[in-house]
Amino acid sequence: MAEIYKLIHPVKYFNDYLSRKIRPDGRAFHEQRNIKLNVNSIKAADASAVVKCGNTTVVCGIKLELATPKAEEPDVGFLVTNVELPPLCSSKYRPGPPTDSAQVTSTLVADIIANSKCIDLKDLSIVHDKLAWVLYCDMVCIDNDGSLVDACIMTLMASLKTLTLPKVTYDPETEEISVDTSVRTKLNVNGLPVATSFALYKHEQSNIVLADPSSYEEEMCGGIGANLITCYNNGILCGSQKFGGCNLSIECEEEALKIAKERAQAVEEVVDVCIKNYELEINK
Amino acid sequence: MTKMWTTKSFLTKTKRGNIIKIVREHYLRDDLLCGSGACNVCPHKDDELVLEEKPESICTLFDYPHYLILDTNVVLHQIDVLEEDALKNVIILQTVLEEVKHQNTAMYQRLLEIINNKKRRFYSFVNEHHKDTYIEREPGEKQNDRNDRAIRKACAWYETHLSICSVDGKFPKIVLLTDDENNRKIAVEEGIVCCTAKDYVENVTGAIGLIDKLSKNVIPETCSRDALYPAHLTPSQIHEGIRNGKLYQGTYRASRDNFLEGTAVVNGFEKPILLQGHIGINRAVDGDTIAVEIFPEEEWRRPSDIVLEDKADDPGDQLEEEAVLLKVAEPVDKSDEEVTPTGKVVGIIRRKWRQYCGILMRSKFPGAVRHLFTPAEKTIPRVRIETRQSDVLAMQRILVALDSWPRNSRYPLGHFVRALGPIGNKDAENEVILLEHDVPHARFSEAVLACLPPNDWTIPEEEIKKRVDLRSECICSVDPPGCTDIDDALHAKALPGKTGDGLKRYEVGVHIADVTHFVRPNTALDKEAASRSTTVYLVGRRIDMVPDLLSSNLCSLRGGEERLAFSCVWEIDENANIIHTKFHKSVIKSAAAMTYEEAQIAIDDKSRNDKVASSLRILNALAKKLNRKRLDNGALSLSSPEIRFQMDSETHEPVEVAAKKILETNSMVEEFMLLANISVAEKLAAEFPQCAMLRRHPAPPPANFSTFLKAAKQQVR
Amino acid sequence: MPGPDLLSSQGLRLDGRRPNELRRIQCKLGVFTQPDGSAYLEQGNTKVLAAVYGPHQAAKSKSLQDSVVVNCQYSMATFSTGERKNRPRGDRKSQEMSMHLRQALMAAIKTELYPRSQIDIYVEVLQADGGAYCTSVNAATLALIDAGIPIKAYVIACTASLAWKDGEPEPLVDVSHVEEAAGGVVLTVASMPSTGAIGLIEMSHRLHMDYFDTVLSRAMQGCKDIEVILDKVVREHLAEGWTKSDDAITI
Repeated sequence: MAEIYKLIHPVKYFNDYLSRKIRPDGRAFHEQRNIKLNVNSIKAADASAVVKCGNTTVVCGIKLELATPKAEEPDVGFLVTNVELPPLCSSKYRPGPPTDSAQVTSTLVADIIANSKCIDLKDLSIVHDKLAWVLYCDMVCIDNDGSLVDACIMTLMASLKTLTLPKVTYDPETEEISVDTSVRTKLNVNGLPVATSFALYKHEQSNIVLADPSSYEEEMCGGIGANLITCYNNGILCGSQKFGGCNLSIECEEEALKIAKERAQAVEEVVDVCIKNYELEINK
Repeated sequence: MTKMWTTKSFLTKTKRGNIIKIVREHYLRDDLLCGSGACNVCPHKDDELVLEEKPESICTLFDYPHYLILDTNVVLHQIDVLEEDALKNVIILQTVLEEVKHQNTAMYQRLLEIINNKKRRFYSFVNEHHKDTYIEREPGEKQNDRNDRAIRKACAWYETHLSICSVDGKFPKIVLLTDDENNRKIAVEEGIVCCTAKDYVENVTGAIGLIDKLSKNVIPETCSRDALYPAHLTPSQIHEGIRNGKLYQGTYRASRDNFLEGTAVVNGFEKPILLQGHIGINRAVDGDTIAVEIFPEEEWRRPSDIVLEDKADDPGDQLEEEAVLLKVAEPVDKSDEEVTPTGKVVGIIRRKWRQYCGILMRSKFPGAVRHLFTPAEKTIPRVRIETRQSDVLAMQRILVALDSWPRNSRYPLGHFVRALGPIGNKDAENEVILLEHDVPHARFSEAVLACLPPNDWTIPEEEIKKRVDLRSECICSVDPPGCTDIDDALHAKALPGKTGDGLKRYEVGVHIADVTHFVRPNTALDKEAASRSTTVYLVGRRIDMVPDLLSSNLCSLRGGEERLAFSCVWEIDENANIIHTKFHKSVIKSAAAMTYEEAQIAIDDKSRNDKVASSLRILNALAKKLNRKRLDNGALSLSSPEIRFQMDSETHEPVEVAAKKILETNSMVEEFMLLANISVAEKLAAEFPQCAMLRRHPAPPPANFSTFLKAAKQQVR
Repeated sequence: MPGPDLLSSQGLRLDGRRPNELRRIQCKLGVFTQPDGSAYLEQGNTKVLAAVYGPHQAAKSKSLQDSVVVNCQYSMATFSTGERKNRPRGDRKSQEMSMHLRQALMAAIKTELYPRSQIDIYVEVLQADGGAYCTSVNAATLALIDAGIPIKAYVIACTASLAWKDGEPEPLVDVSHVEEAAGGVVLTVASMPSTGAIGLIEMSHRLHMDYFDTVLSRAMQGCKDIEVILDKVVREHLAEGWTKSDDAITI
């Protein structure tokens, strides 16, 4: 019965739930979905993580390569991020070139990482003007059920935190590069940026903030993805973006920032525990 | 299916300057057998019980039943000891097998042969895939240390496995042989019984001569006391030196005339670098890859003209005066064109030692065990060996392996491998020739012989159907007298009609014995033939590439017998222009197997008008035209007269040497074989332009003639 | 044609398997919420996700009067191989793989049941360690079953290669990447083991005709062995009563 109701009167169905202070999947407005994180599951990658926030599942794999730095920035390496939304992850996508939303998500993720300053690209330099690391960070969404950016950032950060760089020596005379895989250093990661998505909905003159929206909620709130994405690193706000949906009031914004700040701490704990367990296991 | 466990091992490797992560699966199993007769748990089949239940101890150090487990260094250095039948009940771990394979393929083959010899009771245990013996490399642990640990783990496992699995509480112990001091130390701490290969072998009873085979493997640069020679540079110093251009890499070539002189060709110098004196040569042996330091130009000398042989009685460990040599070499005149860049050996990059044939020079002191060995090859220095059998060996040709050359030893150290036979004995001398030229000449193994067809094999009917039947053609073969391996045959006949230019047409065929019908790819026979790669003819002896049944019978195109062949058949006009070529497998029946002389007589004898004679005449006439064409095309004619030994019919001793007579028919056969080769090469190049492997002789570089020119100049003087 | 050393003197393969042994197989059905059917399959270190959408209405231009349109896409994550792939899909190899995938699956799907409809089958290779195509076919079969789309029989794919031991040919089943890279022949077969029908055969390198049957029958045996394992998982999954457990995916 409920399914039919949902199909015939989609808006009314949604409003009925919200007027009872509950979301269609049974969550409270500010309640987030469960997070599951697993690191180093893709052995072919140099670092990897799989994260599941509710049903949204994203795999991140990092591949290392060596390259010559740009002439104008001879002491800087490269961090290349890309988000893939293959048709497999949702019925919304068709086979073909990357969709707009994939490109938007890619840019968003790249911006968040750059703004949070969690990676100093100078750390990726090996030899001035000659050699630097390229970190190809590819995120593949295999199940898209909303709040995609949150999951992407989380899996990317978990991968970066487990990444180790082998020792590379470069002979300037012969231009010979030798890699010593037995000596590895961890990549320096400053803090842990956490993105939190919100959907904004105007219901009976009041603005409602839904944390960690599912793809159904995102759709109902009139966006391609989430309406508001905020990012905290080390307790400091380092980015906030608003896309479509209803207008954002000051109270709503404060509300959202508070949730995001709390969530940043919670997520940081999840990632830390997961990585600690993993490190215990490999050093055993 | 057996139960399997899986773990993963990771490897990162570099390729094209970039790094690649390689992931491999590694399955661990519980169905691998221990191979011991004393075990009643592993589900062995009878032929899998390699190790004896109650092995008899032959070593006085360990007077209880035991199995030996060998460390990699023992296999690599003491393979000659292992090849003796004395040691039995030995466990070869997979870890060791793989390390040996990685470091030295020849050693690996020899080890496999021992393992495959059932009588030797060598069991190869797959410890790397056994769930209880596999270990993972720890972070920061060197591969070498990890392997040592894996070996110790396997030792400990065997010890407990055998103790648990024995029926009556009596079970063989494990003794680990290792020459690695560190490994031995940790093994003792872990309660594993171990000792060095030397200690073990020296205490073996009842195996005469085993001690002689012990390799005297000392680390050459550690003997700094009483050092005669300057120390070699370390590999990293050499690497550094070559990189910054101070040192050069080359292959050492010892002079045949002067044992204190040699040369090395290095990059950047046209002339080979001259190396003189004990110190200048610094323990390099002919063929070694060496690092050379070149002197400043004012110290350059010229090669000596004197002959100097190292024939002194054993002077002990001291170097004699080199003044004679060096004085001669002092350049008389700086502009002397014979002055050559001169240098000295400062390090060895790679030794290229093999086993050498030669004779034992007995020590003057009766009862001494240290003797000198003089190799048959003049470029190899004399070798110090230890043996207690010098009385017997003095009269023999013997085989010796080089082990090391410490700084404080006048001569390199080696050990006796085996005796070849009395000096002057024909068989022993033949053996020397074969060994020195690295000719494989062992009897064909059972596996190879098993690939042969039965002795009474005849061509099956269905095989004939698959091939072009040329049995009715008048085919004949022409070979030297006494030839039993007739591998080629010819035929020729006139064809009716004329060519467009009004010339006569002929059909000419070359038929090569189809060995591929019997030698199938990848069989033991195929591999053996590939390793021999040619038949070697000695005086009175032939070392066949394939067994006799094939070479002298089934693949010999004998007269009057049906044989399988591969044929190349041309249509040729009377001016020897090829009109058409075809290739096919065929069945032939040679009408006559002739000698060159018989063929010549048949051609010359005007009264003969039979088919054989007329086809020979066609062939001969065409061959002359082909030869003319070839020479006009710039072919090089090398005449190295072949010689023949006249053998005594009863003693089979050679009594006379004579140059072979060259008849027209020799060149006739040669011409058509060349034509067949050319046609096949053209066909191959046309069909497989990417991968046809063709042979050519490039023009020789002028440097190849320098020795000849020098000799010729002296003749003029 | 002396092949590379794929078998040790003790008869074990480079990774410790015997010639007739498959790699470890782990799989799970119904791992996603979005598609109508999905599966995750690991064969050794090769890890593949498959999702099936449909049957749904076909696009007008593609729609067929009497049968369903099957649309396949094979894609490899950029981090799935040793060297980073530049394009996850759309390159020649992926397109070829998509085509082969479609050919193998079409043989089993009862296409006549859904006229004017379309089924989308998407495969994502997360990690490739040899036999990525086979694992993709097998995962897609599971995803089709999970989606409840009627198939005539299991379509199973498996590879086989040929090694030499003591001069005797010895076929190897379920070839790993190291064995592929060693340069031996790799024969890929997609078949319906229960009917014996073969949907696709592909072979790289040269192989003497004499040994073809040996290699083929080893690959076919591999298909049968895989079918037994997958069938067991399917039955267990169904017995759980379609509960899409929360803990569905642990890659």
